[in-house]
Amino acid sequence: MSAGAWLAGLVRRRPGRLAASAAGVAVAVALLASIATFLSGALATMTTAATRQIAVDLQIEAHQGVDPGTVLAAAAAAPRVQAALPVEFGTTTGLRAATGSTIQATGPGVVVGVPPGYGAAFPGELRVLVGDAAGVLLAQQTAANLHAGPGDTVSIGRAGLDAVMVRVDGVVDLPQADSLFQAVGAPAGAQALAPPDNVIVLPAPRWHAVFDTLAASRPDLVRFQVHARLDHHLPRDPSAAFNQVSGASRNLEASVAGGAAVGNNLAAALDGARGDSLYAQILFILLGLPGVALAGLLTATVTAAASDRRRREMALLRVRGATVRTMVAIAAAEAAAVALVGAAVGLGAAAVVGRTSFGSATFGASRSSGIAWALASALAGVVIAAWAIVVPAWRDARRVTVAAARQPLGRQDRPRWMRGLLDLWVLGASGVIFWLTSRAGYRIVLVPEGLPTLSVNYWALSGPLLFWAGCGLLAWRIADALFGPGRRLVAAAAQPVAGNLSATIAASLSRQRRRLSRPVALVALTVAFAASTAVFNSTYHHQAGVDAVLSNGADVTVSYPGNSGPPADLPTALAAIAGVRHVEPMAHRFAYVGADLQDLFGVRAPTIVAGATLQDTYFRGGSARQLMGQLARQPDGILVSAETVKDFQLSVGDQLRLRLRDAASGQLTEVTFHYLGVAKEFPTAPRDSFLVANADYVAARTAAIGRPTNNTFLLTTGPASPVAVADRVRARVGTASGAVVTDLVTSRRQVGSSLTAVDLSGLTRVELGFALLLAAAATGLVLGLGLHERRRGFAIARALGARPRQVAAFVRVEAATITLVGLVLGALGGWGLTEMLVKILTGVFDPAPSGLTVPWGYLAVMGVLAVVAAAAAAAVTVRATRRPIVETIRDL
Amino acid sequence: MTDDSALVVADHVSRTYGRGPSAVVAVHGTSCRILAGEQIALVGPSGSGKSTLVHLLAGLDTPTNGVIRWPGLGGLPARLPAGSLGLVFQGPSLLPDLDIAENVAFPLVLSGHPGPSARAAAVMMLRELDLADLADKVPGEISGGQAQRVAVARALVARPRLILADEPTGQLDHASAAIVVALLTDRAHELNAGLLVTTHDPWVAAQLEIQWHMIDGRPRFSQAMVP
Repeated sequence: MSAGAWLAGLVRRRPGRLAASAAGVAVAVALLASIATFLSGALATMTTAATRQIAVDLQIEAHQGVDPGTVLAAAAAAPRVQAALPVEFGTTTGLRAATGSTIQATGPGVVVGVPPGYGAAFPGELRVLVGDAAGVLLAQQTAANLHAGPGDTVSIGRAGLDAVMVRVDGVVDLPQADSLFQAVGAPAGAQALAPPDNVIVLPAPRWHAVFDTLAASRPDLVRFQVHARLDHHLPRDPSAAFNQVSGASRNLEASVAGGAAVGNNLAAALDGARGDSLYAQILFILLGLPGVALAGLLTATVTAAASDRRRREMALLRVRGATVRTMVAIAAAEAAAVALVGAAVGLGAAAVVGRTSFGSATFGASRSSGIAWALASALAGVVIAAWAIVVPAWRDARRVTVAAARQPLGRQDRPRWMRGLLDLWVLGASGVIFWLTSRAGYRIVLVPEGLPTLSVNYWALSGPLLFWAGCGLLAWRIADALFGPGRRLVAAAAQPVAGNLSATIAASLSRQRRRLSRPVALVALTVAFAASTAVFNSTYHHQAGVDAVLSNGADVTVSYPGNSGPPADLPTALAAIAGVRHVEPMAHRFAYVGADLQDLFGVRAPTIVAGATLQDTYFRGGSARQLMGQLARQPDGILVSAETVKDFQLSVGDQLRLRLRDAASGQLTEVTFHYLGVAKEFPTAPRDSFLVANADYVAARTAAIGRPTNNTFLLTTGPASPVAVADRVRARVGTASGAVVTDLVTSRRQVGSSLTAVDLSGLTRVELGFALLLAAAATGLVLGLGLHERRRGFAIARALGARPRQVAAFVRVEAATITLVGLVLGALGGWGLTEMLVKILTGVFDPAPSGLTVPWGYLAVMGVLAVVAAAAAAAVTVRATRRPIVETIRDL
Repeated sequence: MTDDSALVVADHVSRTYGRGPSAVVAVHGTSCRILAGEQIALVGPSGSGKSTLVHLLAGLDTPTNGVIRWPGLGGLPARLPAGSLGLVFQGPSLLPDLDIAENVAFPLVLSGHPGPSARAAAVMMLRELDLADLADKVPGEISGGQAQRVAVARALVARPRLILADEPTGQLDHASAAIVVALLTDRAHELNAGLLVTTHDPWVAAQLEIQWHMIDGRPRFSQAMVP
């Protein structure tokens, strides 16, 4: 018999079997291709997001004595440079402004000189709030400090020279002040400089008029930079983009022969993105590959459901003289047909999923990678089809004799892996790997700052993957034990459904336990995969929200930087704004701990826990409520960062003397606190070191009683949109007040890692959708096919006098046992797997979660879907047993 | 003797498979009945419709024309008292997932007997057939001949009033066939049950009181035929 004739016969006689196998292959191909689409889109998004946030790509600073013109020429001629403009920085001893009857003065500051056209070339660097962009511009905070605005006159102090008067033309915001005032050429890992408090921007000719004289006498007080914009047509992969941009930077440094240092802002942004891109790839491995493996197992199980019949068919072929080669060729033809149909359907489905979920129907970042991913996905389908169909056929053809194949199966030995305790070995190996790789200081992705090489600890990924596989095998063993030695338990559980047939049904299940344990393991694996994916995604999204809240402080945050203070009635005014549910004031100041200048947050301890939604993970040594309770009871208590505790060898109760600026004298004064505990995170606080104390105590000790010391307000909006509330707040406080109003939604887009910024919701939808599909298929399809193959047994039972409800009891008990045992074991495995994933991928979370966020709704849907699928399979089988008995027996 | 005292009555029953020119008439306008205590051999060549007639008489199949009734067993097949009809199939018919004792006990369990007593009765029946050693084995572990004897045991265990055996000796050697036939006839006699055995084997047919010859879907009754 030719393979073609056999295949034609299969299509005519067993279309269901072929379709089920092809569906399994299609799911695997679609999942793989869909995730590839997400991955390529995510990487491109990361690169785009990283490049978009940069105002000035390169800051090339000429060394002392080097002609700035030479550096400018070299920069302008460098490859990939699209725009290069000179920018000068001069140090002022202080600024003064006379407004009305008062004179305000500031400390030292920086005067920046920009050429005409700078704003157009680098639109993100200067954001004009009011006035003329081409004139003299005061930074927003400086304008607030000086109480100055357009039309006012400001004097710029110069070291050893007379001050120079300039007329202010406008007020400007400097969104990227950190990079603008960076120490160009500082060694990697050096502490970043805080941007200056006082900044004034002059047109280049005015700057030269003010500072050229100073430059001659004090060249150390002036700096010359060239700001450059690079061509942003970069590779979509952040790593490749980083390497390209770094190369361009090094090329430029070489071209100026060491005469300048290059601050590569674009590479710095891409540096963070490339680490996140690796995390995205790890998510692909951890969340995607198990899905593909599941689809493969599903296909193999679907095929195995008909293995007895296939074996008999093959035996008939052997009787007719078919060789092993012929039988393998026949199986290969079937596998090829299944793979072809499955791959076509899978790729088509992936294109639809990609377009609806990610807005793209391509499978890769480029045409070639798209083709490569499509081929790889299709190849995965071919491998699955071959593994599920050809390998068993080849094994049977070699081992099974004709007579043996035609006999019903007798008792089957326990699988070799079960006798060898493979499941326990695998779980043990997983535990050891997890322990080794999750010890303190471990990171799954290592991104050496500035270096082109990244490393991923793929070894660590084997921990959860082995755990998952081990859970599947253990579920198999447990099911085997339940159906075998535990059959009395099954019989007791079946009693309400099966009555006096329960023992017979349990005995029947016991003899089929080798066959039934497999779908139990498959259901458990599927549920574990779906549950861990769902819980991980929920936890991820929750922590992304927490991260944004930490960075922004609250739904909406109003802060008054520098010396500008809010009006006394501001809290009341803010509380009256529509959509504002609660206003939590904080006093943000700075304090010296020894020689370190740290942020100090003065809080209202009794209300801050609820007002700022503090989480327990922000603290060490007690919960948020406990520590804030202690702070409320002990006015001079203080919470410090772990780094400070370590640096200063503090123990709880130790005295801590800080120096703070006295409100009356303006001088630093010593204030004594007592160390209460560790604050690891705090809303709006920097990541490294900060302090949290009672606002009233700080105000009392710095002569600030009666003064408006609270300069930060955390607004809870409840159901109202933070963006809309922020707009209303801005309208209320006005731009001239110097207040900075930020909202959670915008902050979520801007802060945090770029992985957080990448919208994972598309991936989540796809993953969870596939997980539901697999859960339904693992229960309904596999169960249904298994029951379908046993129609003859049910028909004989009916012929022997079984009533329809008695036959239905066989079906229902089997379906319920497989589904419930699989669901329970899968839920337990999923819980363990999620704990492991969250620990392994701790770098994805910032801050680390205090617990798992469980999406009960999704899990309930999955459970209900699995039960409904199983019930549907059982119902279809029960209906089929009502066919005329002789027809069924004759057909089979 | 009226039809009402018969265990099963077939009244002008036909069974046709398929439609149109390709239709095959397996049983053609047959009327017959089986009374309690009758032992009938239904003989005929392959394809003559013996098995179809057995299936119709067992209520496993529905006639295309005519009526089948079971007045002596209580009415319609779906409502026959469990265990009142003992069936032996032509091919392998043991439930592969139950051991031999459980297979034999199955009709008893279906009719509501508690599991332990049903198993005890099954083991006793197996002992009578000299098959007690097989009680704990599964069908895959015994030979085809043994399986057929177990199927006979299963047909008899519930003390049926009508026994229908389709080629019960088809896979047996002569000695085994003799045991099976003796068991069927003895037990049918003991229970005063009606017995219908289909066979090709003239020796087997000769062991029964009545022979019906099935030719082209129609039985010819050689003795005691009551249309």
